[in-house]
Amino acid sequence: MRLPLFALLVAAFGLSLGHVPSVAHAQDAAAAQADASVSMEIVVLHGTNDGTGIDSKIGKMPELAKPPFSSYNSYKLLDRSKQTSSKASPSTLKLPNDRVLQISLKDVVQPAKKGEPKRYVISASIQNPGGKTFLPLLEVNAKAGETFFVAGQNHKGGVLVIGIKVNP
Amino acid sequence: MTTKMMNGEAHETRTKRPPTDLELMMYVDGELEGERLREVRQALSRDSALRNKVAALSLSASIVRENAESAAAIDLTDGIMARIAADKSPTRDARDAAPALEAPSERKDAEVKPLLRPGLDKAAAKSTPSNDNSRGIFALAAVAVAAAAGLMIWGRMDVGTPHSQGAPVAAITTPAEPPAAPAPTTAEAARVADTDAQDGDTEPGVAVAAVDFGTKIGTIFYVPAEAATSNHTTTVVWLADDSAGGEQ
Repeated sequence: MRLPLFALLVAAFGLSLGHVPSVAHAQDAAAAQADASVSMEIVVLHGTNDGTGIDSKIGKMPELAKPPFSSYNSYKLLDRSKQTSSKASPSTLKLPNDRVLQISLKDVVQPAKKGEPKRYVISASIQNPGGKTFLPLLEVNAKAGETFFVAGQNHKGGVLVIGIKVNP
Repeated sequence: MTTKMMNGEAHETRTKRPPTDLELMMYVDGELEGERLREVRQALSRDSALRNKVAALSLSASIVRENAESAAAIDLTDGIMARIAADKSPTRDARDAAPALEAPSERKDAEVKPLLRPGLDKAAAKSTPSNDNSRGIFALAAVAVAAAAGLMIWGRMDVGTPHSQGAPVAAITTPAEPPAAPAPTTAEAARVADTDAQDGDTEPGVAVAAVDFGTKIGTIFYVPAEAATSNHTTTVVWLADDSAGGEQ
């Protein structure tokens, strides 16, 4: 009777070993997430009511014709830049009003269904030059390829509109 | 074994050690003998604590013996046979009638012996079937299989995708005014499918997970996309330097 028992134990151990690679895979995925980074395109617009219309350099941005952006009839592109952010190193961008936008990647969420894009948990904040915080925290869960806006800061008779697009 | 010392005295090389509890029990049971018996007696004569221990052991041994004898004196055989004889119900009579016809006559005088003797039932139960070992083996095997199954389930769990579900989710992440979403017609379905396949209908492309406007009051807008037939929205966080607003 001892031999079958031993065989059973060996078989059980073998079965468990058969799934060790999946655990290792999960650990690899976690390690990959730890050094994951995201590329973002950041546009800074200046919204005014000077009647000049929407700057052609901005490109296709239909949201500007809808509320709340439609409160201003003119938008001018002030800056367009690409930033890469990771958990370890947040990216910063100095805004035209001397405030500093800081963006960091908090997490990468794998899609629940196959074929869907990843989602990125991104944290943003805006600091005043004196150190006081203008926007303490904004954390979004963004699908790759989507743009979100942070707008409303006063600037030269108008407002600043910051568009952040998460590149796939 | 003895060795001759310089002063001419014989000295025993074996050291006298105090008697152990086991040796005391053997002493009480009369199983100790020889040199060790003599040493234990000497130790008892010297040490009153040992004498007390021996007295306690003797008392407990006598109690056990008395109980064992009284238990052995109980004979269940007579009681059981008396109950059987008293059970004269019709069912039992009918049940017993048929085999009685075919039973050989000498079986009437067959002696009925109890299966288990009182006081020995535990020992008998332990000594009866040899499949107690197999029971243990089956239990071990079941534990091993259960452990393997647990590891399999654990291995299949998605442990590598922690995300921010535990993060505080602001109530304002749900758009207060969701964009109108008329059901697409069949003709529109193909056109809408591409957009919906990428965007999904249930959640915005960018959902606000947490927001802290500090001392200011901000507003979160979900601006509908250009296509009115799509649920796609663009998230706008509006925070003015001197604004007062609310959730919209």
